[in-house]
Amino acid sequence: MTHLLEIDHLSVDLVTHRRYHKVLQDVSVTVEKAEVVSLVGESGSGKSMTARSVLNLLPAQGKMSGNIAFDGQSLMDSTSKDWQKFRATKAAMIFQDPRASINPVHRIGDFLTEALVHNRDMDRHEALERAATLLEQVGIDDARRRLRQYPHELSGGMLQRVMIASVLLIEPQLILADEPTTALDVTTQADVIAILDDLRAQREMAMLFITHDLELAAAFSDRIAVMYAGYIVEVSTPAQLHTRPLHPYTAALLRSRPMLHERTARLPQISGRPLSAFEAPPGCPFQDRCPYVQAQCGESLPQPQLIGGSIVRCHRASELELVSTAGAEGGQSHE
Amino acid sequence: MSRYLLRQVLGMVVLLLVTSFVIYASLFLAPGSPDALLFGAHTVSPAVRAAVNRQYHLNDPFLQQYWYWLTNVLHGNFGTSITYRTPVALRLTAAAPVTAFLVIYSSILIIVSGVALGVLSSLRPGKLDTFIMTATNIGTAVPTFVAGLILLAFFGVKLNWFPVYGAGAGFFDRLRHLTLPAVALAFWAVAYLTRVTRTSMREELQGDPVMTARSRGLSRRVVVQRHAFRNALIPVVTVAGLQVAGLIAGTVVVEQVFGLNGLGELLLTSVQDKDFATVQAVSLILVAAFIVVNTLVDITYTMLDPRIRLGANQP
Repeated sequence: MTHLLEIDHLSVDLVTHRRYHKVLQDVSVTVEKAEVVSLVGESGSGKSMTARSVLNLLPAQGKMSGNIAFDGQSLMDSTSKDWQKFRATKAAMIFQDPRASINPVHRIGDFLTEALVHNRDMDRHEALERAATLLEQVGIDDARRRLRQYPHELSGGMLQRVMIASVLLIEPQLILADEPTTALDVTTQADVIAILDDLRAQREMAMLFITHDLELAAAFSDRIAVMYAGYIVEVSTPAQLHTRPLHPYTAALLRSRPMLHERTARLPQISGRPLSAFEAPPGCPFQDRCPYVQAQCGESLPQPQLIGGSIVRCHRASELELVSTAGAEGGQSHE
Repeated sequence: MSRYLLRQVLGMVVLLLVTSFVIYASLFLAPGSPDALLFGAHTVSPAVRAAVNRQYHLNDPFLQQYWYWLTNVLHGNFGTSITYRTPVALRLTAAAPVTAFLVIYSSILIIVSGVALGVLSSLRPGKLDTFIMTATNIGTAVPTFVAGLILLAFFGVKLNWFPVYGAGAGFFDRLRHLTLPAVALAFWAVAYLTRVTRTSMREELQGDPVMTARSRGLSRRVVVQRHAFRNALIPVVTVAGLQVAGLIAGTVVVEQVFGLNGLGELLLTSVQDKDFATVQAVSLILVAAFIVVNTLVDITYTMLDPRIRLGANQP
């Protein structure tokens, strides 16, 4: 069976201060047709880079290795024309901060229609007509007036809806959503996500959803991939992840969430600080912060193993029994 | 939008009035008076002196004199040169076209080549970029009069491609005569504008709107034109506006080097001759041109950046 998107052993190096630094390390994840996969992780864990790699939108002089395939076709040998065509038709990205990403000097109507007009030679009036219909679907009233307005005349939540509409207009098979609600306030977040997920599901579009919010990811994804230091530590379904996390990092992350129903004097935290891929020691990137660390963890990068339907990269995954709530103190190992 | 325009134009008119007053008043504060200049070392009878003072309204209160002058100027009458006994307007009509031609010619050179080189430099990192940056580094360090003398010596005297003196008659002859002065005047500004354009373009090319545009599969041409260049223009227009306005003053130097009878030259000789009316007229025209250019730049902003229009509509 071919996956809609298959990222396979992807590594990415970026240049900073004239030196190459690893930002992604051996990332493998798949997205099926109409499926939502969330990439969850701290800042700098490589979530956004993974999404940007799919569109080949790395910063200048970025190097990709490994494989990315769409619908069974590898994208790695694409020319820049092929990439353009791919972005114009198959996959589209929703950016984090619409205020920054939507060009402030053009009207909303021009922003929404430019891809249709320039890439598909659609008549401008027809494109505007479609844009107006879609604006109404994402919950913006008075769409025709909005089309003539400039981005600064709309609120952040409105603008993100415009961004979502612009992506849906392209009718891609895959949406890459890079923390689409981080720049919005909490009440609009919920609305915007609901609209995005609704319209996506109606159109049977798949989505790679990037967030640092585990709850949000759990609420509407089919699978969650947890990233740490530029590499995927665990891929699981939301239910499984919450009841039986397999990786010590996932478990620690789950335990450090505040609970709605219980009082906790102090939230547990993960000691140490998050690392970037290039800072990570040889072996498992999480070893320095892991309570279950052993000698073997420093020797080799753990390979993916399939345990109970989840994929995990931990040398000790099969022997550890981890819990996801702060109440139950720590995990017990079978030693 | 129209309210914004109205405000800009009103502001310009007020500014012009204030500067006209300052220019008129400053010559009153300058040493020497018109009648002293007229009579020089001659002793004249009080009756003659009184007659002269009456003819030129020299005894009227200051504000009244200013009012006479201003209303006359607004009717195109800049008074009579005391030194040459000719209407100032006549001397202006001889000199102004040369300077205007020079400034416009030079502005076109600056804007076209500065923007083109800057954009090229930003889009082709590597050898071409390095070459343009080195050249503009040298360019920004060369003062206008040095550039003028070098061009004159090389293209005028050695190669004999361009005339070395005079402003020429008729459009094409004038174009040929004013090429070296215009290039000399543009030299520094082109180098500077190139650097500003390059920096601004590079910033936009790495910015979020360009990333969004690329993510939608738009062609490089569309991305560069609609998202990078269009947004990069705002600082470019600011600098280009300042430079064109600065040219108006810069002509004084270039007209000296190339022996052109323009406004700059006229200003210098009339200051030396203490020709009050001419100094006032030329200063007023130069300052007015400066103010008009700046207002045009402000209006251009509103066309480039819709957010500025909003600012004008807020109470």
